[in-house]
Amino acid sequence: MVRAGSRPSLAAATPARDAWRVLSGVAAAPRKRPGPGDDAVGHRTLSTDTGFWLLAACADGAGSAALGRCGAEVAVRQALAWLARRLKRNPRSQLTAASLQHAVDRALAAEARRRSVDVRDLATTLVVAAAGPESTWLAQVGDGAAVVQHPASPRWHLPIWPDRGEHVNETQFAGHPRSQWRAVELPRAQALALLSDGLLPVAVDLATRQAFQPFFSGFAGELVQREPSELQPALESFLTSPRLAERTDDDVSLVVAVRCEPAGADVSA
Amino acid sequence: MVEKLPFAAIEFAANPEPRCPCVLLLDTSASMAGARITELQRGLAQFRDELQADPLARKRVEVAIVTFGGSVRLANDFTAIEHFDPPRLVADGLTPMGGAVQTGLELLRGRKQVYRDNGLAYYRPWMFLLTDGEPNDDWREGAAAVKQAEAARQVAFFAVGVGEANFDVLGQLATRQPLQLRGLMFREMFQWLSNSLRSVSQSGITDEVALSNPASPDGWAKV
Repeated sequence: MVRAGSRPSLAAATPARDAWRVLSGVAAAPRKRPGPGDDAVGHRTLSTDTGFWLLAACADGAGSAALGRCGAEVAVRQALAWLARRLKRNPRSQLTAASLQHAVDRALAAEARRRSVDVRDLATTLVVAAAGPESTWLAQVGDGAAVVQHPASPRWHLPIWPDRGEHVNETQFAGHPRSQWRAVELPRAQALALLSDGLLPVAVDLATRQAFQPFFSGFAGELVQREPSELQPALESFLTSPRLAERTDDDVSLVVAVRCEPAGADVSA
Repeated sequence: MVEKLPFAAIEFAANPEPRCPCVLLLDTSASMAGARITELQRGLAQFRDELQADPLARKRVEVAIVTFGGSVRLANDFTAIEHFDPPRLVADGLTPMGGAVQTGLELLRGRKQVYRDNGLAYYRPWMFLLTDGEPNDDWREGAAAVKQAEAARQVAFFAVGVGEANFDVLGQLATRQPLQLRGLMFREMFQWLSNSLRSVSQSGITDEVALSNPASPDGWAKV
């Protein structure tokens, strides 16, 4: 599913062997409401010869781009489709940042042609995760963040630092040919989260460049105990809460996923 | 009993607010004496009041003031708006504008280093030059430094001329088109500046801020 702006809907992951529980939401910055904002998130699951995969993506359309949110939706959709295609064909396929960049930039260019606009009007950041039975692949352009927790330890890691320029209001975007995309391959994940830059001030310790542990364990701890459908209203309240608005005045989006099967570390620790 | 929503108490990281530095380069040469300096002083007070009234801007915007009248003087080192008290301006002497520009850029370099040393995020600094005359010192070096800093996106430099200011020089100092103040609309100018800084200081990382046009028919400037 792809979710953008303020059109909440939910497809709860079915608890099955080696499956995931996924919770996701998007909210516009208070000053943009009742508009939908420029963030989009999406996720899907995939069964392959080697096992079960969770694919997730989170994008933040550039506020300076005329069609930022449209770009974010296209990037999320294309990233998920590309990952599914590659992994379905060969689950051991070597995923690279360059090939994801090629696929997403091509989709943005096609959308730009369709709308007779410049591809820069669709500029968006993007962060993606592909979590398989043995490994986790993360890729990113711009200042979104991916956070991972592995089975052996309760600690949440932030393997790729959000790519911020020297100044707060500058970053890199999909759709720009010279943007730098980065990817990292990690061991099997027990839980993961993707977030847009709007949540960085509360979810990441910016001085030490570490994931702020209580933030992620708080979400994951609930998700191991309750169905996503039960938690969805609470997530939406959280994302639009005055308490959060006091700390950030940006669009916010979050995907949190935990493995359903009992094996592995307790993510709420 | 109302059940508390599951995520109502999620703990937040305690990051300091990102900083939004702004340097004002103010001409306090003898020709500014009288109504000009009085209105400028009033405008500064309004600038402070408007930014202080905004809960995010008051924590994020930091202002420094360099005056150039007779000599270049650091009238106010970087201060968070919540603690900012505008200095008393006195008009006197010639117009060492080039030196003021260099001092402003130097101040910014130092401030960025303080931010970096303390792990503080910051927005692209703004530098705002206001004059009613022309430089009596060598300003070309300052102009080159501004161009270099603008090209490297290290600063956004705005020049505003009052009355008989030399717009030819201002045009060479700034990469953006210099603006001409309508009459003595200092307060309107500072209102625009505080609104703009408020927008910048609240923009998300991926936002490019659209500023209102100060040269619109009811704006404070002409081009």
